[in-house]
Amino acid sequence: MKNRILAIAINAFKESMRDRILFAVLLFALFIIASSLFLGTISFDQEQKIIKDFGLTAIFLLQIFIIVFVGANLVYKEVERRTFFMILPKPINRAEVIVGKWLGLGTTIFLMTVLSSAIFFIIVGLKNGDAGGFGPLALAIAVGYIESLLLIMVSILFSALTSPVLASVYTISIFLIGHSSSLLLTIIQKEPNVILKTAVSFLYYIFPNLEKFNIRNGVIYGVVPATEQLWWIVVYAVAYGIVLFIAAKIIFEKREF
Amino acid sequence: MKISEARKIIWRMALFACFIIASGTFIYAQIAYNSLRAHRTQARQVFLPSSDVVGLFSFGFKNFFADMFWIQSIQYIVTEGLLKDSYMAEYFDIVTTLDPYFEYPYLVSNILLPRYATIQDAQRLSDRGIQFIPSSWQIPFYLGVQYHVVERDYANALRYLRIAEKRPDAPPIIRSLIASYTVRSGDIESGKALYEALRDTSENEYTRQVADAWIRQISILESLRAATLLYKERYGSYPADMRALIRAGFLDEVPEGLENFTISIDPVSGFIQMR
Repeated sequence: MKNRILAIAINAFKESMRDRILFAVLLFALFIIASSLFLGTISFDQEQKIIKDFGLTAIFLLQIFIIVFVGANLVYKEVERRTFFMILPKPINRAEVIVGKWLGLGTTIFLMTVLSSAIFFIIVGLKNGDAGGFGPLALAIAVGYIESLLLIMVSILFSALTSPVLASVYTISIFLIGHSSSLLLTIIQKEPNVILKTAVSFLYYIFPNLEKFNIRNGVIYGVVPATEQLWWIVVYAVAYGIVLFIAAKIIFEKREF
Repeated sequence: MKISEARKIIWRMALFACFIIASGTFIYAQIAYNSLRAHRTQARQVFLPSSDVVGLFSFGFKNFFADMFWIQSIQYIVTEGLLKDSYMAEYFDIVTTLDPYFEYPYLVSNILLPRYATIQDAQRLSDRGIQFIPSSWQIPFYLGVQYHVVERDYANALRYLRIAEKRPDAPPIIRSLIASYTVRSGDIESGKALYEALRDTSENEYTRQVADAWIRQISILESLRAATLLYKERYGSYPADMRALIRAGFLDEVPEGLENFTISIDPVSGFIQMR
């Protein structure tokens, strides 16, 4: 089983690495990091902050774009090229395909994150002169990576369900809703209608609350979440990931190729 | 020359002419467009969504958008200049709503807004800064000083300086300013006590000298107050100014050390104010 998952993961990794979009996205992220050098100089003595904010945003955007543009194609490409029809008759569980794809794309994103982070840290180091604040920045990137692992599963779920364009749209929608959870919470707190309040509360807990993975705003000022808070973030990601995996597995098994 | 070759040459010449005419036309169109822009009114239209809307649609990129609006606000000030009733307050509001821990916009807004918008705008933003950055003594300090310099509102100046004084790393000068504003706001006894405490506890020789000079001036103010009360006893009303006290014989001359201040006496309450 391990070998089968590994084989699918390696294949998904190679497949995604061959995608030209990947390098366009990487270039875009590096462009944002580089542009922070210029924008920092016109920011009225706030160069360090601008470079860090832009760098963290660029790395996060890189992860999201890869998921949206590459992840949404993962299953569809296999169907389109009919390579799926060669895999499915073999004694491979469809759940293994999902895990393999998730691992493959996760590795691609990890590699791209490491690469762009290295460039980001070099720039911060050169501008800052010391590596003192690297820890919190690295933590923010790592927590962002956990979010992207969760979003890969969302992407695979939609990729198994519909066309790449729609899968991209749905993944972006989940991303946007996930980062607007504070709005839902405000509605819950202010809504006097009990039925509406319950309905919104239901949505609040059902949709992924992705804003908890966003510690980028705080680490710039040296505010690092407590260890307990970080543990709950990981627990949430793992539990939500399992739910998405089960949903993807059910959809995948029911789907006729 | 064959007819076909002649046609070819004519065709190429026509193409070349078209190229030249088209090039000339688009350059002329650009010049005409620029002259139209030059004749437009100076007031630039700025689209600024409300800070709540920007916050709502930032989707996990709040710091990034805060930086973008910060850079945009600087560009706006640089290109538009320091104008009254401009969008400075709105820009700073958006920046600090998106990133309430960003200290610099609070400080810049405290410097600019009291003069180019209203001090209430600066106060609104500073209150946010005081809430989110409790370690910053600069935010309440800048606002307190602006209340003094721009508004001559010593009550609010004192209020914010007292907040600044409690912050870690607050410089000792704040205590001196608090004492000064207390005197200026009319509470002479408290001001004197603050200066005496400052003189007795400060490790800085200059601060002690300044405190001592203020205590001497406060003593003069106390004499003035006594003279004012005597004036009221004799004439039934408070004097209109210091000259009235001199004319009535309660003072020989304007007391030394108060030449640089404007002393006003409220004829109704007898309140002595020093500005």
